[in-house]
This record gives sequence, structure tokens and C-alpha cells, in this order.
Amino acid sequence: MSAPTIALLDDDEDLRQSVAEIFDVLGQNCLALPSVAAIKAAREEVLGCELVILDVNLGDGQPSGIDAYQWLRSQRFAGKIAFLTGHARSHPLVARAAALGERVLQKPITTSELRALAVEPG
Amino acid sequence: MAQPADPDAHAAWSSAVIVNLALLSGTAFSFVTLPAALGSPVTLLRFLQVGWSCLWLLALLRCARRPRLGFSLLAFALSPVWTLVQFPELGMMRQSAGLSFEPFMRQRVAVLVFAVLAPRQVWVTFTMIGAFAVQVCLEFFIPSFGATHFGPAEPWITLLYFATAMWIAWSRSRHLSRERRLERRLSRATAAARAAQVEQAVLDLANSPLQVIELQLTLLEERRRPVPPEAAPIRRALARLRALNRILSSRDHGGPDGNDDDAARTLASFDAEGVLHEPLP
Repeated sequence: MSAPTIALLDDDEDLRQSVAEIFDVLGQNCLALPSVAAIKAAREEVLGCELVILDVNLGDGQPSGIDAYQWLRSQRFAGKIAFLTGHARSHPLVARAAALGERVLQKPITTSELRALAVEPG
Repeated sequence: MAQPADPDAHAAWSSAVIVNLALLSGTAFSFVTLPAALGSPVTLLRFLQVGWSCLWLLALLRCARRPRLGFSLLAFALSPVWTLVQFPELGMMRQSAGLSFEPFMRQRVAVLVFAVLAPRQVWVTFTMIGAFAVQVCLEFFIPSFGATHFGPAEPWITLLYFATAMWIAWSRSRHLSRERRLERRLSRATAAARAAQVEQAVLDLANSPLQVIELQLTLLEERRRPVPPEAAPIRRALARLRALNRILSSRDHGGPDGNDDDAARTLASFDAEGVLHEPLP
């Protein structure tokens, strides 16, 4: 199996599986991870990806997608990063994500939006 | 469900308790500072005032947990009745005993105390001050009604004090009204923040399952050719839910607590389900 080109961070198992399947149909290999700790554990694979999609809220008391973003940038990750969130834009965490200058996508996004995210230049 | 406490009733209750305590202690001290014969009208009026204040205090203490506005205002307004009646007698007593005293000084002090403790319903304090003004005028203009020797420019000086007291009471009433308005606004803002928090939590909990349905439906449409007819109503229902989602998420209300600094400090995720279980403010 080829190395993953896309990494997804989301605490919802069904969602991780669904996104991975969609990317599989689109011909992309997606590494779906449930937590910031898992991202750090899969450091080499994640840093080799072209795109990382981060959920913002990862469950009560857990490090958020913002933490994952900061870690990725501290590791000099050069690929694209996008936030995928179920929150309204006004939520402080989402507002913070938007302030970082990255794309913030509102769940639920369509398959075509997902495809566009994967193919468009960073 | 417990009703929220009425801040006006609490304020009026406090004023009534303080005024009655002041009258009770003042009257008790007067037995020592200006003794009168046991059977004299002044002594009778003093006992009446002591009993009157005690009764009001007992009644007020009984409803301390949930004071009623009307009752508290009544306890405030009627508290000095027997003191008011004994003023002319006291004036005469002091004058005939040759004691040094300034006529109407007690009335001035009493009225200023009432003004400082005035409840928001300023008409109550105005009525009390009016009663004191009537008493002062009667004492001044009817020679047999009380003291007969007054300072220059009386009763106008005393009435000027009363006017000042009315202004103090009115200012206090305005201040209390402003406080109530701020309290109401704060209460509405708290409710709005809570509603926003619930909305955010609902969005958080609903959107991931919606995303799963969206993607799984796409996979179903991709993998099953021709697309089963059952997929069409699901797709339409999903479109309606997406439209609803857009409306909800486009409403900008500043987040769960409206404090971006807090979120910046703590970047940890939060418990959306827990938010829905929190009691209403």
C-alpha cells in the first residue's frame, strides 16, 4: 500500500472511516487518526502527507485541533492544513482556527468539497 | 420550581428592618436621655413605638426568606407613626425643662435617615417626608401644638432639609432603577449566552453524524449502479438538514461565553453533551 497523502484527525470513528473510504474511492490514501496523541505517534507518516484535515473539538478535556495544528507547524509541516468543524464560526475555538489563516470547513461537507480540498494547490 | 427573588422586595425589606431597628433603639435610648413620668403621654407613645417596631420586626423576620414588596413598603412607611405623634410633646418637654435643643432637629435627622434608606418606590418616602412636613408646620403654626420657640427662618430651614431629603430619595430611587435595569440586562445576556452554548453543542453533536450520512450516501451512490430509488429522499432530507445547519451556523453570537481570550488560553476541546445536560441559569 502506498504512503498516505492525506491525514484526518477526528474523534468520531464512523466519520473517520467514511472519509477514508471516500478518499479511497477518489484514489487517495487517507490516514485517519482519533487524537492529537495518535498524530504525534504517527509523526513520520503525518509529516509526509500533502494535506491534514483537523477536527477542532476532539472531546471533553482532550487537546483540540488547534493543538494539533500548532504541533504540526512546530514540526515544520509544509503541507496544507484545513479545519473541519461541526461548530458555528463564532465559537472561540473555530474563530481561533480561522484566525490562523487556514481553511475552516463546516460539517457536513460534500464529497466534491472534499475532493476539491485534496486536489487544490496549497 | 422556585421563583426568582424580587430584588425590589429584598431592598424594601432591608430598608424596613433598618428603619424599625433605628426607631426601636432610638426610642429605648430616649427613656434615658429624656425621662418622662410613667403615666405621661410621651411614655405611652414611647411604649407604643417600641411595641410597634417590635411587631414590624417580628413580621419582617417571618418573611425574611421571601419578602413581599407591598408588605415591606408598608413596614417602612408606617414605622415612625408613634414617633411622629410624640414630636410635639418632646418639644414641649425639652423646652419646659430648659434643656438645650434645636427645634425640628429630630425631624430633620429622621427624614434624612429615611431618604438614605429609601426603597426604589420613591413615592413611599415622599409620603413619609410629607407627613413629617405636615407635623412640622402644625407644630410651628399652631401655638399650642408643641414647642413655641423656634430658630430664625423656621419652618423653611427644616422644609429645606426635607427638600434635600426628597432629592436624596429620588437620586437613590434612580440609582436603584438603573441597577435593576442592569440586572435584567445581565440576566437576559446570561440566558442568551446559554442559548448560544446549547446551539453550539447541538451543532457539534449533530454535524458529525450528518457528515457520516452524507459520505455514506455518496459511497452508496458510487457503488450501486443504478442508484437505488431510496437514496433520493435521503439525499433531499440531507439537503434540508444542510440548509438548516447553514442557518444555525451563520448566526453569530460570540460563542459559548463570548470570551475569546479564555479560549485562546485553553485550547482544549469541550464536552458538547455535558453542555446540554447543564441546568438552565
